[in-house]
Amino acid sequence: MTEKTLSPELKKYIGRSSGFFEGPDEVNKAMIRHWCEMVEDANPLYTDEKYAKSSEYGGIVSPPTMQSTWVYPRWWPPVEMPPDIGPAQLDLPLEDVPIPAVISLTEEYLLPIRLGDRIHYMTKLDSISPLKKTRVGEGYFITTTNYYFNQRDELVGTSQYVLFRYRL
Amino acid sequence: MFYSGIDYRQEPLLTAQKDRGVWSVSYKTIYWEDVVEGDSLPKVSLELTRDRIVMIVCGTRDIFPLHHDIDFARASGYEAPAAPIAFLQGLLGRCLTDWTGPTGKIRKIALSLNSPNYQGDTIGVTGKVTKKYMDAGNHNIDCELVMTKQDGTVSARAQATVIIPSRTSGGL
Repeated sequence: MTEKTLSPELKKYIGRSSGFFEGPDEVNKAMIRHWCEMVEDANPLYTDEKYAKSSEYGGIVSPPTMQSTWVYPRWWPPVEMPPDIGPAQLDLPLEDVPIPAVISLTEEYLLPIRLGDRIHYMTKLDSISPLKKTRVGEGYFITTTNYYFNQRDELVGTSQYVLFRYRL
Repeated sequence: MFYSGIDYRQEPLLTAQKDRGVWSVSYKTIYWEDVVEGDSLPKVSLELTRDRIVMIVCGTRDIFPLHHDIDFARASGYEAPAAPIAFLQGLLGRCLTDWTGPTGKIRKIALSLNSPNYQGDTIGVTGKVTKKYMDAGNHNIDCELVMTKQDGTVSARAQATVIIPSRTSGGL
């Protein structure tokens, strides 16, 4: 079924912000190279020290599209994340709609990310739609924005996700 | 629209190529004055081989099994391991700066997802310039990019904004 309005119980979560999470590593050449290998990106700003030094940045920068990778949690040992961080919003009382699907993602890149930077981020819950019935199932469209900061707390970029959390 | 005798609609401005066994990278700069709305970006395509799937885990650090485990993917209703969004963003970023050269700055990418890109697929990315405009002193170019699989299925669409230098008012 499709509902016209959102329940007051879910409405109260709109606008909330998560805690911060800091990526496990400083921005480094090895991880940038792995990223460039993956998509065969030959941009010399990312891997050619000599070129990057002569550029307006004065040194190697990260591909801007890599911003979310810098805060990807380590694989081992296990790490505690703030419960309300990330687009899936796992702690919302939505156990009845367990399947997450990303519909769209809009990223903005505001400042260069340089070697040695430490990136941390937080998530803001922008909106939750009323329950909607779609082709794949029924659920909620959840819009969140991740804000990425460097070690000087300067905003380097954002990612806005629209996620459909649904049941079959 | 030509720059240094090269029609950038045919040839990427930033390429890695092999010459007598040695790989080298060449790059040029695209300037604001050379761009016309409707121009095409050079097409990029990449095959999602099993090796590529491993490189994607290495590059994105996204170890969620949907992206590399065929049994998990099938049990979740997918045909095969599916590439994560971070990979698509990386590929779109590459397409944009392959075209602009390293002096192009990616300002924004808005991506909408239509269908999964599976292991075994070949993803082709095409793009065109939709708008050219000044904003806050910057020379902005909006592009529309489409990701298409080998069978013609559109897997994703994106709108991107890049800032490029001008011959007359600054830039490198």
